[in-house]
Amino acid sequence: MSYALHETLEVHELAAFKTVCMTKSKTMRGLVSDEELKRILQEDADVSARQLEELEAVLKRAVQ
Amino acid sequence: MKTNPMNLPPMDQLDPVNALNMPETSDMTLAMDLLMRAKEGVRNTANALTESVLPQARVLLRGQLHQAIQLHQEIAELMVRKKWFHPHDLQEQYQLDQLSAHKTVQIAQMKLYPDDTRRMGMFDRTPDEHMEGSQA
Repeated sequence: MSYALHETLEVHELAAFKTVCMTKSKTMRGLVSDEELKRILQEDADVSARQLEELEAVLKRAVQ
Repeated sequence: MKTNPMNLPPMDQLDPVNALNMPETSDMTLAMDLLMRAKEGVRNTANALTESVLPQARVLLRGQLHQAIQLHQEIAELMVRKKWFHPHDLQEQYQLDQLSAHKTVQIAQMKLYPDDTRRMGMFDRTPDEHMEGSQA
């Protein structure tokens, strides 16, 4: 079974949002001084990168 | 004419007194930014989940939704613990919001860039000039 068009678009939108979030977290990490906030930002960047890979896999399958 | 809704004195960006507590202030701002993105992430993932039918996609999105909620909880707890966010004390939260609103207005009034930003003949053509409009 393949993805419906609106599902693909929804995932695409999510991937765009996640990309912005990951870039921002990664950049901001260098600017904060609080250790715990730094840790959370790093964690967010890592988790977002993994989620982006998952979304990318979905999109790859959707365009096939 | 400059707009000055709160009648604040203009802030001098070179005055060291304005750099007081700057690391703490910027941490607070960036934490607030992360909190807003975390909230938006939860909403976006939930929206995508309710729009999808395929089981694989639903499993994937449900996992990501749980991760998004976890991130939101972490950053919200950190902000409450650091007293950057006061969900139970509206008076305190109001004071904090007023303070950051004042600071923001003052920063907006600072003259950070010169009036003349012409490039004096440099970069007189765009790098994608040779391309068609739709490809540029």
